[in-house]
Amino acid sequence: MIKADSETEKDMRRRRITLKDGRYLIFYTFGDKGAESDSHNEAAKHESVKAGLEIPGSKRDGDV
Amino acid sequence: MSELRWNPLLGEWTATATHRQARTFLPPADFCPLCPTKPGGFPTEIPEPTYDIVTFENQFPSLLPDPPEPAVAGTELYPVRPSKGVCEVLVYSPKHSTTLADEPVEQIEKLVRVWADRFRELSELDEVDYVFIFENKGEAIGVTLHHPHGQIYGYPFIPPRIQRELDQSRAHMAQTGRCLLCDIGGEELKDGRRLVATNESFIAYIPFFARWPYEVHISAVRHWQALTDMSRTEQRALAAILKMVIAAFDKLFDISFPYMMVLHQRPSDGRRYDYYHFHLEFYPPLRTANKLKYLAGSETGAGLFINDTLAEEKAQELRRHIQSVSWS
Repeated sequence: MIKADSETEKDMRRRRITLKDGRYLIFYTFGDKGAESDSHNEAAKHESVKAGLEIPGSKRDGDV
Repeated sequence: MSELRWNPLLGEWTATATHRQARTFLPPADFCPLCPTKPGGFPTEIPEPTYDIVTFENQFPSLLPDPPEPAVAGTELYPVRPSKGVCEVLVYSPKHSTTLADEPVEQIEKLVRVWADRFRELSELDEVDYVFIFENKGEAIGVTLHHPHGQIYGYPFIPPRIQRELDQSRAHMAQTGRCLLCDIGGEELKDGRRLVATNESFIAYIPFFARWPYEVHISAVRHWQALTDMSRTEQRALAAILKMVIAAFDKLFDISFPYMMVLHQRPSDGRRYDYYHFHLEFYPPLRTANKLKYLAGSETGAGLFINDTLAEEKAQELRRHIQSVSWS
């Protein structure tokens, strides 16, 4: 299991991990709970790209 | 084996997912795969306990990001395509013995915000043209796990029921210049007999054309298309009216009321759907405390639902159990 990504949106935080079988899992925490995942981790984000978890760019660009 | 097979008779896809036969079926509470893993306990799907809500890729998905090649070759009459898409499981709480109806409205508000976040992320995937968020609750619906959870399917096409609503909404807009769901909401407000609950941003009603005895629809008052269009005030209002409706469901027969809950919003295929309107629909299978409404010959074979009840009477029943929501 690797820590892959974490993001903060106001008081809602999400932390993405990769399970041993390659599936992703995202924890959502609100308020003070899970505050350790607040910081955005660029290195971890690159790990997620290698793991194939990065979300592709918006398909709306230019085709709406 | 997993693939999409075209049905030329109905003009729609059927998904096969034979591996789902092996999925966990009603395990005892001590072996619930949706509880957080306990120290020294068996490993569940959720390896850590600190969260409010968690989502993960379904271990037994009907649609996959990297699906296998179809087991059979398609023909001109019978096209086949890989079942590409996404299936997520959305766990509402670390607590096993709760339901959405039992949770405080603050937890439901968190769920609404997670719904919006999942829509935002999944709708940007190239392989997903429609993000479908739903909950099957209760053994009467066929749930295999009791831990409170919903699901999200990212379909690689617009599913037929949604396409029909889109077609009807577009035609109504072309004919009248107005939104169909806005007109339905206006009609229900004007009549009043089928209203179940209202607040500043949403109305809940059993529609005039209900197919199930306690089929409640919750529709946005303001005209918007997707979860990501909601203001924070509207997110809170949606949580509040959801709490009111599902708590009333449980009080109807003093049981944990089974239902299917589905969110209908715009597709995510990059086109504009300004004529469409966000709403939720509940399809509870019970017609009395101990009798199910079955989808039998007419419903399944002809597509004509026969409702044994009147929406006006069932809405009145539900209204008696509606209570205002308390925020802590």
